[in-house]
Parts: sequence; structure tokens; C-alpha cells
Amino acid sequence: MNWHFVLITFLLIVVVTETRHLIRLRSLRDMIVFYAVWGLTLLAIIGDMLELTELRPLDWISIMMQPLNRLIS
Amino acid sequence: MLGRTILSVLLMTSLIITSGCWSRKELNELAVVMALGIDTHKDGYAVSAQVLNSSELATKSGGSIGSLPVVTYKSVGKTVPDALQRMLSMAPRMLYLSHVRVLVLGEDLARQGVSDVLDYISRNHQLRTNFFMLIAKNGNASEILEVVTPFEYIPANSLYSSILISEKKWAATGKVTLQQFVNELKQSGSDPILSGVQLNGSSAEGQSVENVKKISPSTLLQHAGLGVFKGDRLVGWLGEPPSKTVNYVLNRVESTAGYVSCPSGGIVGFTVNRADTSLDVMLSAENIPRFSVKMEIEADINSVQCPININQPSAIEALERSIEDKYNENIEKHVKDVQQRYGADIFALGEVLHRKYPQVWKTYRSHWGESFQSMSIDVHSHVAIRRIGSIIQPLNQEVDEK
Amino acid sequence: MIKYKGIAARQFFILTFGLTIGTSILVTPSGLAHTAREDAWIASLCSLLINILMVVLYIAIARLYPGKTIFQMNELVLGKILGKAMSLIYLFYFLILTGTLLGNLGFFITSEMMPETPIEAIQILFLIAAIMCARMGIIILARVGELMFPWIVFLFMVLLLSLIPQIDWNHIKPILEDGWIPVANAGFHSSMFQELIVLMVFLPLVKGERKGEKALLWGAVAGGIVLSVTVLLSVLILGIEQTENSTFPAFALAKTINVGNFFQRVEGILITLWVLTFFIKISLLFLSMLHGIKTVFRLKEQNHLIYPFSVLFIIVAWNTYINTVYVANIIQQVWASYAFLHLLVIPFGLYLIGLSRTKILKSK
Repeated sequence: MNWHFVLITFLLIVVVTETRHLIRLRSLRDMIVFYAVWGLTLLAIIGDMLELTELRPLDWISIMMQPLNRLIS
Repeated sequence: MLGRTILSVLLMTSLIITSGCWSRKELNELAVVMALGIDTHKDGYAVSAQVLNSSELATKSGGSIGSLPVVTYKSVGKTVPDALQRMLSMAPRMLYLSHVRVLVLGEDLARQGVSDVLDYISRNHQLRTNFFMLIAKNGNASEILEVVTPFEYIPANSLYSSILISEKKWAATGKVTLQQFVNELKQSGSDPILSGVQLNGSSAEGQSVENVKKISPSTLLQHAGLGVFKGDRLVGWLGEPPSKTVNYVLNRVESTAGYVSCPSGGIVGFTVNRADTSLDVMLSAENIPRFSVKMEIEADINSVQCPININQPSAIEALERSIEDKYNENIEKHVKDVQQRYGADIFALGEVLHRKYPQVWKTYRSHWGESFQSMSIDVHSHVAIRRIGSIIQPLNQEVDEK
Repeated sequence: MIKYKGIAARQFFILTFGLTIGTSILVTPSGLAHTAREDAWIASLCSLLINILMVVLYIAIARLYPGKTIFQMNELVLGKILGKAMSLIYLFYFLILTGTLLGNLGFFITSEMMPETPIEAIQILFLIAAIMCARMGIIILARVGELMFPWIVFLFMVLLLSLIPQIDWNHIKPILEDGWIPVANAGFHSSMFQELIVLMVFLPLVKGERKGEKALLWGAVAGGIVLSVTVLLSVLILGIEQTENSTFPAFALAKTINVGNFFQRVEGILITLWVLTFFIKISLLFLSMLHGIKTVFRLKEQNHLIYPFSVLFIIVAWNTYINTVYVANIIQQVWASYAFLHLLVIPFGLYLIGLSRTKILKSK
């Protein structure tokens, strides 16, 4: 089963249902944040589908912690 | 209304992706493996699996023996899982390993080293760690798995029960689970032991049901002493008295029988019904360890074959002393024998040293195999005879004519 | 989230208890046994002490700014822009944590119980449960926790009592063979897996301030005791070599239960214990992340963000937990210091700055 397509379908359903809800809410800020998070998630799925190796958060953490580790030890 | 529809759609889709459906195992698609046997082969490993034929087991109480309740499949592979998968070309169902009761290793494989085989056995999530391991003495594991046994319909169960009962009451064999073996193997202060099983009779005759149709079956499975391992290789076999010694020292004796000779000729037999052993270590002045084995034994007299007067407390005490002497002598002799001949610390004395004096242990750890050969071990046993049975004086005493 | 003080102190205790146990109960014994050998249980008690230290620090911060969650406190202490940046850093930390947690559960269930099931299916299933809980809010989660608590205690007592006959006290000796340093090291590493700062988001909602603080403390202590007992049992029964070498030592422990040859092979039922604590932890993380985003961007509502966030969690889970070896390596090297930063260093800094600010305010 190709799970990415399941997730993309879910995201599309979500954007349809929630847009109606958001318009009723009448808050620009909520809508912007929602679309920002939605866009970020979509990018993440596409990145995962393309199997980009840079998208590994644990690698980012280890890169961030290298200078600090060198400070401590 | 819309919320409910969405909810029901969600529930129904979740049924489709319900995780259990991928891993379902229907009972009539499984071939339950009761015993595994592994031997060496020029292409890797020869694996034999004794598989339960459940439909035959169900009709046991009904009629006569049609086909046997178990089938043994054999195949060869570079690794053990390779061979097990190749077996599927013969077996009609998927092999299910969770119910394995006994793992039998061929003697050649044991002499070569068992850790490769045990790696697969430990890694596989289906196999549990509490089944028993045996070595097929002077033979192949597949021969052991092909013997039809009396009493128990499934030969693997017969092996399993006989291991339990002989370890409990006879104490000259071992009951080693995979967990125990791996622990003893991995600890640097001990070497493992395994119990051996051998065919008593011819292999060809044992394979058919005719074997159990006679009052005295032509082929039986017999437990044959303990095998000494150094690391993961078998280096030698212990006979019956040394095996009992090992079990005494390791505090694994529940009940056993023995005999001691009377001062005036003849022997007195006794049953041991409680044996507690404690191992201890003392450091001498130059930090050299001296090990001591203390045994507390409770025995009952079960057969008097010499003309002594059991009614006297002094006779009982004399018997106790002579049993103690016999124990001390025999155990020291056999322990020394194992020390010199194999240099394998199967008594876990290294671990005793590790626990009490960890700093001293650090100096011995890397070469414990050689240092162990020169360690001194003292044995002190204390025997208490409790009961003498249902009659008092031995039957061979001369009756005084009054 | 219903914004009235609605969590009872007892429910908060249960939530802390569940969060502390989390999935650590499955994996900490092997890490502890690797560093501290036979003294793994002492290391676990050290980890409990460090956790108590964390709780004391959090309570001190909470007393400086009563009634505020950690995200609001960030802004009050550091000012708006820096505060929001700090909250975003914490949100990123929680995101990675959730992904690792999901991956951990997926790998556990597929490698031990259901190997043919794809990991994604299990993760999606659990996430659906967490979504439903997050939609309904923290009060519902607190009540669900109350329902689940007797089961968690019951299953744990079953595990403990049925294993007592198999204890071999020799496995613990020698005690403190290499001194205190490996013990303290191991204790420090394992204490970084209990993310008690998540509860700072919900502490203001507890009825009764003192009672909430006491519940937090006792929950951490109870969770730490359960973890220590589990580590102690695995050392006593499995021995050091097997505890160190198992991928999931607590599961191997459950496999050895055998009472009278009758009560055996029950590890499948004991998985329920771990699934329940995992569910509490992941729902708490989910809710705290939603609240964090809501505070940072000052949104009116948060429920609609649940859906894209859950998809993000799964993607993060797939990209962090690639395989057991990769994760174990990174966790051993960097996670302790990364978590140390977020759990102790930054809160301590916040406390100092907050203290000086309130003092200045008072003196004015």
C-alpha cells in the first residue's frame, strides 16, 4: 500500500472541511497558521516521497549539538 | 448528521487497515514445530523439525494407530533460517516455532561451536527462551527426532518430560534452558554445560511404530551425562558420577539415590531428599583465592545390604560420617578431574569470585581458563540421616534363636 | 481546550505517572545495564532523584508565575519576540519527541508481535486514537487516564508478583563494582527520557495549586519507582548479559512468566500496560503542542490544527525512526545533551531571569 497517497488524500479532505469551518470563524490569523502548517506538512510528504536524505530531523539535532558537545567534553 | 456519516466511514475504513489482519495466523495454516534438531552439513546446516500433525492427534483416542502424530522434515541451508524456509517446499503449512519444547544439537555441531546457531535462535521473536537444549551424543540430531517413543504420543513431549523427571529425581543429567545456556556462555566467569541424549538401540528400528508395539522396545532414548563446554565448543563428556558431582556443586540436586559401603562389608543405599550447596571463596595472604563448597544433605536410608544394627545411634552416626567422607572424596576428585582435563569452569566459580572480590576478579578475568586449573577447591559436606524406612533391622540379619 | 480549572489533583497524578513511564519502561533497562552493569537499579534510582530535581525546579518556576502555562511564561520572562522563539524551539523538541515515540511503538509491535503488519498501519491507528482524544481536550484525557489507571496498576502487579519466584539474588552482586561514576552517568542519561516539562502546560488547570504541585511530585516519584522496579526485576531474572543484549528487555521479562506451568505465555496481555502509558504520553504531547501553537500565534481555536499536525507527526516518525540501529546510535550520542538543554538548562535560566524580574518589579 502506498501510504503517501493515503496521507495526501487525507490532507485534501482536511483542507476542504476545515476551510469551511475557518471561514465561519472569521479569523485571518487562524487561517494563515492553518495553511502554513498544512503547506509544511505537504512539503514534508513530498520530500518523503522523493526520499530526500536531508529530511532527517535526528541528523539536524546531532549537527546542532556538535559544537555544544565539543564545549562540554 | 454529516458528522455521523463521516464517523461511520472512518470506522469502516479503519476496519480495513486493522493491523491484525496482516498478521493473522489461522490454526489450520500452521505446522506447529515441537522439536528442532540441527546438525552440521558440508553446505552449512542440516535442520530437522518434528512437526505436529494435529488431525492425527485428535483421533488418538478413537482407533488404532494409523499414521503417526508427528512428521519430521529435514532440509539443508547455509544458515538455520535458510534451511527452515527451504523446508516449506516439503511442508504443506507454515512452520510455527513458538511451541518448540526441545532443541537437539548434533555432537559434531557442538564440537564446532554453537554460537552461530544460537544467534538465530535468540534473535527470532517466535522462539521463546525457556525450552530445553540437548546434545545428540555420538550421533545426529535428526536420528534422535525420528524415534517413536512409548508412553508419550509425541516424541518431543517424551524428551521434555524425561528431562524434567530425570533432573528432578536422578540428578545425573542436566536441565538447561536456552536462557541459562546463553547466560553461562556470556559470563566471563563460567562455562556452560549441556545434557546429552543418545539412542539405545538401532536408529532404523526406532523409526517405525513397530518399535512401541513390543513390550521391550528395541530403541529407546536415553539421557547420557553432561557435556562440558569451553566457550561455545563441546570439549568432553562426563560420566554418571562426575555428572552428579557437577549437579551437586551447582545446587541443582533435588533428589537422588546413592550407596555407601559398610565398615563390615556390604553396602547401604540411601536417598537424598534435600541437598543445599553454597559456594564460597576466601583470599589467602597473597590474594590467591581458595574456593570452598559446603553441602548440607538430608538422606533417608532405603536399602540395607549389610549386617549392621540400625537401631544404634552410633551406627547411624557412623553411616553419616562415611557418607560425608565419600562425598568429600568423590566431589574433590571429580572437580579436580574437570579442572585438569578440560580447564572449563562449569561450576561458575569465577562468578563466585567476581561477586565477592570484584577487584581481585579483574586481575584474573582475561585468563581465567588457565588460572582455573590451579585453583584449590575444598569440599565440606554435612549429612543428616532422617528416616530409615518402614522396617528397622535389615532382613539379612541372623535371627537369634531363643 | 476547555479553559476552566477542571483537572482534579488525582487525575493530574495519574497523568504524570503515565507520562513518566511512557515507553521508557520498554527500553531503559538495556541502556542502564550497558553502562552501569549490575548496578542498573541504583542508576535507575539516581534517575528518579534527577527527575525529582526537575519537578522541584518546575514547581519553583510555576510559583513565580501562577496560573500560566510554560509557553505563556516564556513570553513573560523573555519578552514577546524572544519568548515566542523559545516556545517554537520547545515545540520543535516536542515534535521530534512525538515522532520518535510513534516510531518506537510501531517498531516494538511489529518486531515482537505482528511482523507481517506494516508499521504505518499501527502508527496511523494509534494516531487516530490520539486525534480523537486531542479534539475533546485535556479534561477528557484526564478522565480516560482515571479509567485506565487501575488496569495499569493491576497489570504491573501481575507482572511483579508472578516473577518473584524466579528471582536469583546472585545476579545483583557485586554491588558498586566500578564505583559511583558509571551509575551516575547511566542515571543521568536515562532521566532525560522523562519529559516532565510537558506537564507544565497543564499545571495551571489543576484545581488547587498546592494540590497540583504535590500531585506532580508524587506522580514523578511513583513513575520512577515503577521504572526502577522493572529494571531491578530484569537484572534479577534475566541477568546482565541478556538485559544488555535485548532490544526490548521488559518484553523479554514478560516472556519468562511461568507460574506453575499454568500461567505462562501472557506477554501479549502485558503489552496492554505499555500501550496504555504510551497513549497517555502521546496524547499529552499532542495537546501541549496544540496549546503551544495557539499561545504563540494567539489563535482563537486550535482543534482544526489537529489534522495537519497528525500527518506531520507521521512523516516525522517515518524520518526519525528509520531503523533501530540508527536511532539507538543517535540517542546514545546526542539525545542526552539535547534533552538536558530543554529540560534543565533552559528552565533554570528562565527561573533565574524570572526571579530577577519579579524581584525588580517588587522593589519598584
